Amino acid sequence: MDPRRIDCDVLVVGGGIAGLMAAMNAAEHGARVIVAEKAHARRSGSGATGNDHFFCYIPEVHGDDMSVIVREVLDSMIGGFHDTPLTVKFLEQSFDRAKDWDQWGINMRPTGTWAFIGHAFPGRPRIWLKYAGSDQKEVLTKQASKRGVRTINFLPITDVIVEDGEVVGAIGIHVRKEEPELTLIRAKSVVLGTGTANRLYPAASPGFMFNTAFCSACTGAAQAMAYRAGAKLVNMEFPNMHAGPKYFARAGKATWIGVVTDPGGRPVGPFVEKPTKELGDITADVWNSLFADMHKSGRGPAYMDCRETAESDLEYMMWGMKEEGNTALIEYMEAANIDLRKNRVEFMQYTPHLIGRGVEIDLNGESSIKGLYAAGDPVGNFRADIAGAAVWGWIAGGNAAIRARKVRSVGNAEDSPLVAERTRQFSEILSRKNGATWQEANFALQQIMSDYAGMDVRSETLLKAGLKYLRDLRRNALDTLRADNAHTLMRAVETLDLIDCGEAIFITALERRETRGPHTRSDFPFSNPLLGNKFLTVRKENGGAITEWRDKLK
Amino acid sequence: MPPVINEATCTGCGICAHICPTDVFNRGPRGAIPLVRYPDECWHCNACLIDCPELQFGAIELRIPLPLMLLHVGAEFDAVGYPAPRDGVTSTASPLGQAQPGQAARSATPEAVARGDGLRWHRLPRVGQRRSPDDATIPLRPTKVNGEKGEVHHGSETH
Repeated sequence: MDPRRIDCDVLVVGGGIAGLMAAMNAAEHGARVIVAEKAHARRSGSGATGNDHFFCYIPEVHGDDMSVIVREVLDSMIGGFHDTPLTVKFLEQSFDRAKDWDQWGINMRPTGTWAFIGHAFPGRPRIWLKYAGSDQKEVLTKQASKRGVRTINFLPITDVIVEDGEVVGAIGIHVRKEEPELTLIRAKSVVLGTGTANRLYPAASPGFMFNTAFCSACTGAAQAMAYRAGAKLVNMEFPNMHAGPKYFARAGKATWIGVVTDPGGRPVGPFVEKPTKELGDITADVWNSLFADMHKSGRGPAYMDCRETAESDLEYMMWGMKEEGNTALIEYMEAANIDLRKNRVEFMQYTPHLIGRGVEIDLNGESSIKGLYAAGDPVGNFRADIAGAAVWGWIAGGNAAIRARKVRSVGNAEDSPLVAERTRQFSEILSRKNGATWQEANFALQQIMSDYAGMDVRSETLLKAGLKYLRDLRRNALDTLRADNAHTLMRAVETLDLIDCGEAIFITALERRETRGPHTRSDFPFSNPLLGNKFLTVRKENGGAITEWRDKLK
Repeated sequence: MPPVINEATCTGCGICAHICPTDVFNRGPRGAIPLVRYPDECWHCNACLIDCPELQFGAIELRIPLPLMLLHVGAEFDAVGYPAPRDGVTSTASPLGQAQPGQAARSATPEAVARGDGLRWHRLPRVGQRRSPDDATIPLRPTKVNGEKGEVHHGSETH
């Protein structure tokens, strides 16, 4: 594999919401920008076919006291792991980004006004702007192109190259053709926006690894490559679980307008009895493990119950699902003659994936490595999903361009020993005639994660055993993985990334000797008040992993 | 298991193969009907249907695999412990009744704004609707479709 070489000021890794927004703002700052996208930016990532809720602070709707909205987000399902200054900066700029999107042609006001609907507690402000995002990627790719951003599709990035603590470039594998091509990109700044990490834990139905709520081609590349490059990851020990229709993990529960009920039809939570589009039922946001708890206790199944939902609200809900990109689900319900006026739908808790757990950023969107930025779902100390990606992508891209202006010339990324090492690894994987498929390695990873760093029980002995098995798996995978074309090589590399994410989870889960939220330590079955306001980071140095505690920023 | 291409109406434009977020298709040369090469890797996002220029002629459909045939519905119990009737399963109603082809309205009536905002879901447009299971005889062996326009391509791509 002889590398092709490309130079730019700012390399954006991932052409999703965060990546495209970063690329646009970097281009507006005069930078030469390349977006390297694994698939095709017009329909890639978790926002591929849409979204319908955009977290936003609009003073004319919410009033001038932003602290009310800060409290609302910290209490919400996305609020557990924020450095509050990042939340405040996000809120200050969120309406500007919503207005940009509206002006570019993403319908942020489908009813003609800025309407905040759903995902709210009774009597509290609503923070999710309901929008029509089914064509958001098409709009954003066009806007990026208009600003001179060059997007290279089918180019997953495997590594960032760092020299003397500063980023100098990246390695990618061009997978457009049958035969993969190694690509070397020299860049002054790199923005990571590769989305969530799925396929870490077993999927909603056995054997269907791609049955995930978020994009199953998003596999923690940003967290893994940042970690390998020495950047700090944060909050990796906390599993995040999504919920939604049983065994059909596309999208989730957010857009459903119903009440969660038990088999006898009684509401499970205290918030609503008759669902409306304004409120829905926020019970599962607060009681994250509701569906699993109900099932395990024998009191289940628990259902999403739309039988009392008004006809007009049901119409509205289906419209929301379409804008969210969930047309496969609603077309299936139609084909199967499932009538939500009569039929409740069983829900389940999905296994953990990484969102809002990962790269630690500062107020510039920069990681602990100079010139390496991250935005959107792979950030570990802030989370606001689509809106978070839009706002922090924009901030990170602008700052990446400003930094690039100060750096005189691109470094010699090609001289990095990492290039030779990865070239050798990938060539070996491609040249083996026999060996393990990427699926074997991925399933092996999932069973280790589920059994030794699962959501039910964790302990020092289980975690230590699991970490040992995980490292054995990495070694075995590197020694035996085989791929016969660009596609399967890409999947093999994704699996190796996931193994690195898994390692960071094991190391931090061992270090947090308490039970907090979904991190359940049977050997420390209590929450330690001394750790309540502490974030735990992990980074690599000289081949070893270093964990460090710090105060959560207020 | 995902996308199923109808070779009779697919024109081989290749859009589905290019925009698939999980790279399920083989991207063949222009004019070739894409091959669903990695069906296990479908995310069921429907992007290939949404972007198919020939969707209305049924050029592509999404097949939901058995384990995902969800909507574990109809097992609800009433207050005294008897299973509830499986009304919806045998009815012919869509999730919400009759959806109309066309676009969701941006403006809405005052009453609709007050409640559902007049926003409705419309299924992706198709000329030929899905055949319901009981309206025709079922052949034991699939018949060859007419009007093949290209060959399924297995090699490397050129565009």
